[in-house]
Amino acid sequence: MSNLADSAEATSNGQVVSLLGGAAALPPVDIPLDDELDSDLEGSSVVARGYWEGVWLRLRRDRFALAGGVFIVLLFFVAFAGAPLASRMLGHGPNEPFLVSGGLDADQLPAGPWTHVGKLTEDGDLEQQLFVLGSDSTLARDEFLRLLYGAQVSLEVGVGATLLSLFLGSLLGAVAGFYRGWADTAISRMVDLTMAFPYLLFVITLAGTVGTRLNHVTLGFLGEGVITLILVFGLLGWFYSARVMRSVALSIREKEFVEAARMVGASNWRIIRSHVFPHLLGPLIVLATLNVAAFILAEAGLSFLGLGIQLPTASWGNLLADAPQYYTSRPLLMVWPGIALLLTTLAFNLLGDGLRDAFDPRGSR
Amino acid sequence: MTPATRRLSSERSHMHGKRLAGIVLAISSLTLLLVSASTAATSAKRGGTIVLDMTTDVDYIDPQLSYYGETWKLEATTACKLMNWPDKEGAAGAVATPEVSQGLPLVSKDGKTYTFTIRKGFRFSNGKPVTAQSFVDAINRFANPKMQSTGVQFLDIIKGAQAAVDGKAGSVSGVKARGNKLVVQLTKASPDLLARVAMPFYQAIDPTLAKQIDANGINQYASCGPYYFASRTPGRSITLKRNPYYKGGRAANADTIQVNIGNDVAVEYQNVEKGTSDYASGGIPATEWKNVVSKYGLNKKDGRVQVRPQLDVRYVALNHSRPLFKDNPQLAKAVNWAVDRQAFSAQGGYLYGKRTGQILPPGMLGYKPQGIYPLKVTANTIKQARKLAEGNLRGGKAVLWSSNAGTAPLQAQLIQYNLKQIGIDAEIKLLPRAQQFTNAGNPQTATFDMTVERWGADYADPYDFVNVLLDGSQVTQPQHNNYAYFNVAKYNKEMTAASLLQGPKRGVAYAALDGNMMRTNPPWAPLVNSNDRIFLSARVGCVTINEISSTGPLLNVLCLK
Repeated sequence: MSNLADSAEATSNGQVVSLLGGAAALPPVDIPLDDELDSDLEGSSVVARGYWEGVWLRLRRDRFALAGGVFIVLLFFVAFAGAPLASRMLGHGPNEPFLVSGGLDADQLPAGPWTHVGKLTEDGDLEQQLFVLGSDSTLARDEFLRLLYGAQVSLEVGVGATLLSLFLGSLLGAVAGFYRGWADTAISRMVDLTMAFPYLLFVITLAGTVGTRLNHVTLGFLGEGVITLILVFGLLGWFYSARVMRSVALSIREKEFVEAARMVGASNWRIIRSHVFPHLLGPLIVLATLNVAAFILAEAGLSFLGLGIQLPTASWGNLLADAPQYYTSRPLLMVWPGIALLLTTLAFNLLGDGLRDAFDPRGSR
Repeated sequence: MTPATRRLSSERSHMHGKRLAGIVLAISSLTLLLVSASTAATSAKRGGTIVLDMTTDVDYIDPQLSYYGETWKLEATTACKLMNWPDKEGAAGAVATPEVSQGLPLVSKDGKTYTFTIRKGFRFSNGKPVTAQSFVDAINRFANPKMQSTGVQFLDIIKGAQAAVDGKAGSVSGVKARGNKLVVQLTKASPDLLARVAMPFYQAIDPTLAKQIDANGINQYASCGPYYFASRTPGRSITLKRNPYYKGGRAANADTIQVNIGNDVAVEYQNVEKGTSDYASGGIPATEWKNVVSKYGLNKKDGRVQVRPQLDVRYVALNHSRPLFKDNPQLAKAVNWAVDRQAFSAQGGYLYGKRTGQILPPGMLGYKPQGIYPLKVTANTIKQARKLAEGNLRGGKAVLWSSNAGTAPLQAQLIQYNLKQIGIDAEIKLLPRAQQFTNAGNPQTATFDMTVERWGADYADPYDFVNVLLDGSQVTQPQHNNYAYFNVAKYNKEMTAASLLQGPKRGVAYAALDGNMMRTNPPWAPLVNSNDRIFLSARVGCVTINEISSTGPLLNVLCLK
C-alpha cells in the first residue's frame, strides 16, 4: 500500500492517474470538468482550453492590464540594461558631480533639462557631456541617470521583498490551512501578532538599527542597503499573503481531488506540493504584483526618511527626498521621480487587477 | 561707604535749598519719561507669542548639559549669569559685562582668586532669590561626574574641579559662597575666566535643580533670566514663558516663546513666509537665500533677512584614535587636499560663508591666513591628494558621520565623492544633529573615522577652538569635544602654554599652533567659516543680533510689531 501511495499522482483538473502502472496500480479514472461538459454539449468542434490558456485569454482582453505588463517589462529592460548603456553613452556615472562647469547655473541652482556640462579630465581639460534631465541637486549629478539607476533599486527591493514575503506567507498559510489544528492555531496567532505591530514604526526601527549592519551585503549585484530593505519588508510583510493562502488552502483541502489523492494514499507533503500549491499560484501572482507596488512605495518612504538605500546610491525615494529643497526653483526635480513612482505602481496595480480577474473565471461571467 | 553712596548723600544736601526747582525738574522728568516710555512701547510692543521652527531637537535644555547652539539660543533668554554679553550688536555686545555680579570681581594680586559680589533683586521663576550659593550649586552640579557634562573642560582652571570631575571629591573646593560673596580660586591665572562664566554652564541654578543629578538632563526647572522653560516635549516642542519675578535690566518682550521642532527647512521657509512662524531657526532651503535677499533686502533695520559673520568653523574631524588616521598624517593631509571646499560651500547656497583650510576663523585672536591647503579643487590638487594618499590608505574603508538635516546629506555625499577620488570608500551614516555630536564626543560610541562637524565660538578666544577642540587630555572623558581624538603630547603642552599667555603673545602662540598642526598632522579638514543667515517673519521687529551671545536674533528682545 505504501508503494501505491508514493506513486499516485492526483492532478488538480480532477484526473487521478497512476504513474507506476502495473498490477498494483489503480486504473485511471476520468472525472469530466465543467468546461469539458460544456464542450460536449456544444459539439466536438470546440476545443477544450487548459487552465493557463484560459487565464491568458482573459488577461488578453484586459487592455489596461496588458499595458501595465508591457510597461513593467520595459521598465525592467530600462533599469537593468538601459541604465548602464545610457551611462556608457553619456560618458559619466550616476554619482559623479559636475560642479566645475555647467552642473549648476549662474544662481548656483541645479542645471535644467538638456544642459551640456563640463567634466574635468586628468589633463585639466573640460570634456562636454549631456545632462538629459538636468542636475539632481546642488551636487550636480545627472538626474536622468539617477532616475534609471533608481529604477534598478526600486525593482530589486520590490521584487526581492515580494518573493521573500510571498514565500514565507504562502508556506505558512498553506501549512496552517491544510493541517489545521495546532499548526493553524500557532501560525494564525503569529499572523495576528505580526499584524498588531505598528508596521511603519517597526520597519523604521529595524532599518535604523539592525539594518545598518546589513547595508554592506550586496551579494555582488545588489545596491548597498537593498538586502536590508528586502529582509525588513519581507519579514514584516508576509502576514497578508499568509492569510490569503490559508483561506485558499482551507477550501482546497476539502475538494474532491484532494480527497481522492488522500484516498489513494498520497502523503500530506505530496498533496500540498502537487495539489494545493498549484491552486495557490493564481492568488500568489495577483498578490505579488500588488506587493511589488506597495514595497516600491515603502522603499521610497524609507529613503525619504533617510533610512533606506545607502548614499550615494540613487533610489526614487532619495531623489524625492532631495527634491523639496528646490521645489520653488526646480519643481521638475520632484516631478521626475514622482512620475516614475506613479507609473510603476499604477502598472503593477493594473496588472495585478487584470491577473486577479483572469485567474478567477467566475469574475468575468 | 562706597564712592557711589557718598555722591548720593552730597546730592541730597543740595535738595533742601532748591526744592521748588527740584519739583519742577521732577515733573518735567516724569513727563519726559512717560513720553519716551510710550514711544518705546510702540516700537517694542510687549506681549504675544513668538514662534520658532527648529529642524531637529536640541540635545538638552538642562543648563549643565546643553552644549548646542540651538539650545544656547534659548538659554540666552532663560539664564542669569555672573557676567553676560549685553543685548547689543557689534563691539558693544562683545564685552563680558557684569549681570548678577555687582560690578567686576575683585581679583587677587596673583590673579588666582576672584571675588564676585552678588547683586540683589534677581529671582528664579519660582520666586526664590538668586544667591552666591546658586552659582556654587551650578559649578558643583557641572563638575558632578554623574552628570557627564560635555563642557567640563571649561572647569579645568578652577581649584578642586578636576578632583570633583574625577569623582575624588564631592564638591569643587575652589568655589565658596560667603554671604553675598562668591569666591572662586583658580589653579592658575586665567585671562578668560570672565568670558567662561558668561557661558550657560555657569548660570545660577535653583536649589531644587541643584539636587537633581541626572545625566539625561532635566526638562523643566526654574531659571533666573527674563524667561524660563515652561515645558518641553522632546522631539516636538519647547515653551518658554516670561519669568514673572525677573527684575534684571534685560528685555522680555514676548509673553511666550514657542519652539516647534521637526519641520523640514522647506516647511520652515513656508511657515515664516506666511507668518505662522517668526524665525526659521533651522534655516531655509539653501536655494532660497538668494530669492529672499532679493525680495526683502539684506541687513535692513528690523529687516526680514539678516546675515552676520560668525566665529565658527565647519570641518571634517579625522578620528585619530581609529586605525585609518592613527599616526597617518599623510592621509590626513591627502584629505585636506582632496576636499572640494568651494563645492561644499555651494551646497549651502547664497552667503553661506568663506572657505578655509585652517583651525582659527577670521576675526579670532591668533588668526593668520595660513594658506596650507587649496580652497579650490583643480586637476593638480587631486593629483597631489592622490600622491599623499598612496600607500597610506590602510584598506581604504571609512565611516563618515553627518547630520541628516538640511544640506548636510548633500555635503556628506560631496565629501564621500572627494574621498573616493583618493581611494577611500566612505560609508555615510546620517544622524540627528544632537545625536551626532553627542555620540562623537563619547569614546564608547565614537564609531566613525570622519565626522562633518561645526563649531561656533563659546566666547571670542582661541582657547575655545584650539584647547577645547584639540587638547588630547580630554579624549578619555565620557563626553568631550575633541571629535578628532587628537592627542599629541607636544601639542598638548603647547596648547596649555598658549592658554596662559596674554595679549599679542597669546595670539602669536595660537597662530603658530594652528599652522603647525595643520601643516604636520592635520586633525581636521577645515572647510568653511559660515555666516549666520536669519530669515524672519513680517510680524516681528526689535531685531538685535549678538553672535557672541548666541546665534540668531536675541529672542528676549525680539517683539511683535
